[in-house]
Amino acid sequence: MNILLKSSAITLLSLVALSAFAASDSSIQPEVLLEQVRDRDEGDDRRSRMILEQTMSDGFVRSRELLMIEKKFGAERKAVLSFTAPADTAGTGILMFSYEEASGKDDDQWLYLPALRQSRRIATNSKEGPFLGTDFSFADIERLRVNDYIYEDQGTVEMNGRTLHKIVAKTANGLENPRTGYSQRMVFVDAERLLIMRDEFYREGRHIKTFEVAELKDIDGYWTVTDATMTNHVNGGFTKLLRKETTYNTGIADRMFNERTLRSGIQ
Amino acid sequence: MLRTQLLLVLLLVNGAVIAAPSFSGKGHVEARQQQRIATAEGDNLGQRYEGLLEGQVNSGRLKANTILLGRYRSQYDDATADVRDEMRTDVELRELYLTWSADSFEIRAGKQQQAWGRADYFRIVDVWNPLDLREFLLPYFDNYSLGRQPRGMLITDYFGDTWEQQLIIAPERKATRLAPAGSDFAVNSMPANLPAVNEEGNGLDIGWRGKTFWSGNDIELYAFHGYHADYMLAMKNSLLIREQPKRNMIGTSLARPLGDWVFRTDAAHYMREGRQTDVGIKDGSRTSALMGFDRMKNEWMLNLQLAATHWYDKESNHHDVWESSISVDKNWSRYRLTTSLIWLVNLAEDSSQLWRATISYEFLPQWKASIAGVSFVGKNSTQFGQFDQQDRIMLSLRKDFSL
Repeated sequence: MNILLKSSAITLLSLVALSAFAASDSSIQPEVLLEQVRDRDEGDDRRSRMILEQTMSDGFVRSRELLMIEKKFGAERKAVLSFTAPADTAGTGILMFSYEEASGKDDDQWLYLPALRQSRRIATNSKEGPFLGTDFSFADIERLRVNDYIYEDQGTVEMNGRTLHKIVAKTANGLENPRTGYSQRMVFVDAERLLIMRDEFYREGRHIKTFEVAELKDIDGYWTVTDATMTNHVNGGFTKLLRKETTYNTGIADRMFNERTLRSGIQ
Repeated sequence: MLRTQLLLVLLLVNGAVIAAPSFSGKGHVEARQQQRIATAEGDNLGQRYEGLLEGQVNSGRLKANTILLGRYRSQYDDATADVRDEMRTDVELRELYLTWSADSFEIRAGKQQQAWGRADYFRIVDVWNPLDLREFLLPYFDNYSLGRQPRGMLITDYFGDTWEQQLIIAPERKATRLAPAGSDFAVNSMPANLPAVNEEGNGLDIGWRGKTFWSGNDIELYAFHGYHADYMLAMKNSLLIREQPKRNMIGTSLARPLGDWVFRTDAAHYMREGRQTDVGIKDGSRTSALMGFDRMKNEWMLNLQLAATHWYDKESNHHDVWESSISVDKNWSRYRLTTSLIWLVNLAEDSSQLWRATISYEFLPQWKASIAGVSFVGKNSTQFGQFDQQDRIMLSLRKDFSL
């Protein structure tokens, strides 16, 4: 578990930020839209209970529960994840500072392990590895980075009764992005709700994973992904990310975003 | 201890917000079969059982934490009375402390742990909780917190905008717990019949830590005044006694990412540090420093550390001590396997090594089976080599649960 968590770090929430595009007419500028997605209003703060439920190719199910708080500090966003279940993971915490993409700074992250009774700094440079051993990688759940790819608008498609913009994202040289491990993505965006509803990930031309939103809710005026699945086409299996009991703008104190909360957990 | 309890009562009476309490708890049980390797001599290692319960009660700003631990080692069923009493069974209220939190303050009082520093395995500035070495470092590898001894402490944290400051007062003495003579991990240098303990002096440990995050760096400063964690032997009034020499330390830590790596370091200067010599305890001074590098990628974790200690003591011709460690962990999450390899090296006059390899498999949710091997290499006079006959394989079954 240690190594899973050590290698972990990042923002589960931003999965939700994997989501938002602004564009309504047929001729869109993908880079601009992605910047709007990245900077989408997700409230001043948010608190959620989340469940990561991983079903492996042999049918083994591993479930993890956590509490998460996030807050905007200008262009910076801070988050704390506090694991509450199962027992061998409970008490573990992750603190994350995400910076404005233009600053060129990598995220800062810390991991608290109850067995150590201290927090450890985590390197955040490479994000292609699995997040907590799930089918999500660190790159999948980090705050959207527009400059990882170049984009091509491929018009609109109908999906589940919604009109979605289809955008192809490719690396400039056609090779894997060394940070994310992907060479291409196919992104389907609900422009009205500013959410990515489906995301296909490719490596060396091979379709390796698919992210799909199964349920959305309007919570306090913010469209919130409450049920999403990442399916792994290489290893088999899938991971569901469920967001429960979400509240926005409750005035979470600045002081909650430090190592003290990592140690004591989110109450 | 009485003062600590009074303080807690005062906090409760004076404005600690009492909300409806909530309880959370977890624990584990573990059974372990142990076998000596090849030519190693000694009793049958038998079975080792461990059970742990951990609970937390939250009531607004006030929180109570407790940990109960029980262990049984069948190896010592037939040992001499002294060894059996010390080694066969543990039933311990390991931790019990209250935490009172305000916006910028936090106070923790009771039997607890506080880790200082950024090092693994090597304790450069981690001075507060002495180790329990009855099974040498083996429990420490499994779970750092179970290898250390909690003690009564009053810890006050102040969370400023730039700096976090921590003041610790430990009013009771606590010393490293050693394996008794006749048990597997009894150290060479201690006599079979331990002399009486001398606890003259106030016994108070006091320390301060300042912590800040600056330009991507985690920076910590430390100061400590108190007692060495180890008992040493001295002559007093023609009698051999054990006592903890006094210790004064200042130190610092730093951690920062470097690309795919994290760099971390601890450094400390002990202005006053006792050292065992042939004629008793000698006060001296030393400087210790550690550099560590961690790299994590695709469920691999590589950890490298190098530590050095230099004594400022011309008379004794004491050697500098070099220590290093390499650990490699790999999580094969698709196969629910975890593998780990640790290699520790100690170099003073001669070198010695400790190897530990583990494979763990989660065959059902929260059920794990693991096999681990431990080997000690070196001369009998060295840190790890003195346990050269204690190489072993351990097969464990563990269940974690929530309450």
